[in-house]
Order: sequence, then C-alpha cells, then structure tokens
Amino acid sequence: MDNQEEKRARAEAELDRRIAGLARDVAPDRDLWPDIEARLDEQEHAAPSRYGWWGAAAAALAVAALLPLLLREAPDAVVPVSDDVPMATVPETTAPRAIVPEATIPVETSPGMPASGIDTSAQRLRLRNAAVTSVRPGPEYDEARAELLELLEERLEGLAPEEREIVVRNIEAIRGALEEIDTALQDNPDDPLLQELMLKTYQTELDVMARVNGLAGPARRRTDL
Amino acid sequence: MSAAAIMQTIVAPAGEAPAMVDEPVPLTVRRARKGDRRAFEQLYREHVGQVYGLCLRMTGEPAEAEDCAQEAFIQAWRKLGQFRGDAAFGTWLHRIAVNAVLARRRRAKPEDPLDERAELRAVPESASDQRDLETAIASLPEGARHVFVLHAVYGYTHDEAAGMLGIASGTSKAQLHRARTLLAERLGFAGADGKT
Repeated sequence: MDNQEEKRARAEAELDRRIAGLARDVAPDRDLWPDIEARLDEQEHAAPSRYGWWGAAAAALAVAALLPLLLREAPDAVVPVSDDVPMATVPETTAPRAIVPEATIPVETSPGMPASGIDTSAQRLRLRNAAVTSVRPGPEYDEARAELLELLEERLEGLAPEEREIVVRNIEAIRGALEEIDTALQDNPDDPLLQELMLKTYQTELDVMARVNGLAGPARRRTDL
Repeated sequence: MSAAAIMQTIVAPAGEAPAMVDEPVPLTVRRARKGDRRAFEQLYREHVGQVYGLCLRMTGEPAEAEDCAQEAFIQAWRKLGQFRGDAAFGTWLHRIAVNAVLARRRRAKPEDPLDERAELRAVPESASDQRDLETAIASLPEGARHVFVLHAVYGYTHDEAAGMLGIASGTSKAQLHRARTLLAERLGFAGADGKT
C-alpha cells in the first residue's frame, strides 16, 4: 500500500468512525405530541370517518350491492320490480377500461350542493362530480358516464321521492369515496391497490347508475310535449 | 341474504384492515389502528427521536424539522390502515417522514437560499467530533445530504434510499460519493473517497 492509499484509507476509517458515532435519535426541543394530538382532533372533527379511504371504498361497494334491496324495500314504491326483469349491465363498450390511468386530468369541482331535498336530485347529480385529480379513466368512461347519467336523470323522474333520494344519496356516497381514495392517492400515487380501488369505484358508479336504470324499467316517454 | 347480512359481509372486513393470516403488525400498532389514541402516543414516544433526527438532518432547520416530524405522525395516523408489516414500523414511519420533508422542500421557493446559509444551520447537541460532523453534514448540498443521511446515518441501502427520494440507485451512489468527498474536505481529512 503506497503512502497515498494509506492516507486515504485512514481518512475513510476516521470518517466512518465519526459517522458510526452519530446518534440516530435526536430529541426535539419541545414535546410535539400536544400539537399532533390537537391536529388529529381537528381532522377527526372535519372528517368523522376514521377509516379513511377503506371506509369510503367499503361504503361504495356496499352501495353497489345494497341499492337494489334498498329500492325494493322502499315503501310505496311506484315502480314494481319483478325478479324476471334482468338487471341492466354496463355495456362492454362503455365500461371503463382504464387499467392504464390517465393521470392528472382535473375535473370540475362541485358548486354548492344542498344537503338534502328530493326535488333537485337530478340537478344534484348533474352538478356534482367527484373532485378527483389523481387517477382518471379515459374519455370512454366520461362518455359512458354521461350517457348513463342522462338516462338516469330521466329514470329518476319515474321513481318515488324516497327512492329517488336513496339513489342520489348513494351516488353521492360513491363520489365521496372517489374523493377519499383520490386523497390517499395523492400521498401514494404509485400504490397499485389504491389505483385499482379507484378504478373499481369508477366502475361501481357506472354499475349503480346502470342498475337503477334497469330497476326503474323503461324510461317513460313524455307525451306532454 | 338479508341487507344487514350483506352489509356485515362487505363492510366489516374493510372497516379495520385487510385480514392477514400471520399478523406481523405489532400490538401497539394494531391498537392504534383501531383508533386507540394512547397507543399511537406510545408509538410517537418510541419513534419521535429517530423521526425528528431524520427530519433535522435532512432539513438542517429545527423549526422545519419539527413541522415535518409532526406532519409525519399525522400522516402516519391517517395511513395506519395501510401498514401491513412488510417492513418495520420505524422504517415505514421514516418513509413518511422523508415524504414530508420532500413535500415541504417542493413547496419551498426554488431560489430558497437554505443551502447558501448552511453554516447557520442548527445541528444536534453532541461531542466536539460529532458536532463538527453534524455541522459538515448540514452544510452539504441538499441532494447529497439527503442520500448521506438515509444511507450513512440511518443505514438504508442505496435502493431503499433511492426509492424514498425518488431518484435512481446510481444517483444515490453518486450523491454519497459527493457527500463523503465534501465531508472529508470540510473535516480536514485528506484523501477520503466516496465509499459506497
């Protein structure tokens, strides 16, 4: 080993010795917990669900599964539902096929939305769109959704007010789920589970709209025009 | 199947976390995941030193490090349901802390003069040799400092550090070389090289 190499080796060893002596733990000057706890309290008041996107996703899936039951059990339903009436399904050509997400396409956010009220349900559906900025399916999804939404708004007129409210609230719940998952995706944009969940929730929204369209029977043709 | 039974089937498993056959998640974490705030405080007490130390060395600013550490724990609380025990809880927490630091740096103005006033940065209290080293680390350019802190101080591999920082593994190695060379110069060690 020549002098230069020996010198370098000693320097490396000295640097390593000092690095090894560094403490990994460094105590902050003050206890951070009170501030953290206060912020957790604030968040919990702002967002009652502590289950975050898991809860939102579960809610969306529950909506998809339960909506037919809820509608069938709604009192004084004006639309009889027969078991031999097939459920509407999302046509192959209109289902979102967004396995490859188109990222960062902003969509319009919702203007003010009434907290309740059944007389504006169609308007609520039209106005309300999930404020999602992370994963968006492609234009085929938007096209399919627009078609289903148009049909849904027409079909809603044929539902009893209680049923209409159930449908509107549940679709809004799904859109809330999309936004919850979107928030999680902004923190973990590469999480495949979240991406898949987001796309499934988009699909769920389409399925619910398609099911409602099927449950409500043929759209009433207006004769008053 | 009744509506209630369907709801039970769908909602109950997702309400907490995906079921796992072998539960590798520590009990305190599982309690915190169920919403036990005291359990989460215990996790905070166990890990705050490392999280704050990591943030302080990455940012070089005590106030900024406090903010980042706080943010990391808040994010951790929100994401506890996603912790699957694939890595140690501390490692998972470090990743969140690194993200908090990087997010904060991204929000900072590009012309932020932090690097130019590195000599003014606070460093952890320590013995003279260590203090010199901490000062030298704090004076490193940001990219080299981040890699050095993660790899040399906290023991992450280049792949892990690169993954956390969103850079290539080769870049991590190059930054470490740069960091060690600069540290050697600043500490007066002639000949130290960028050992990977």
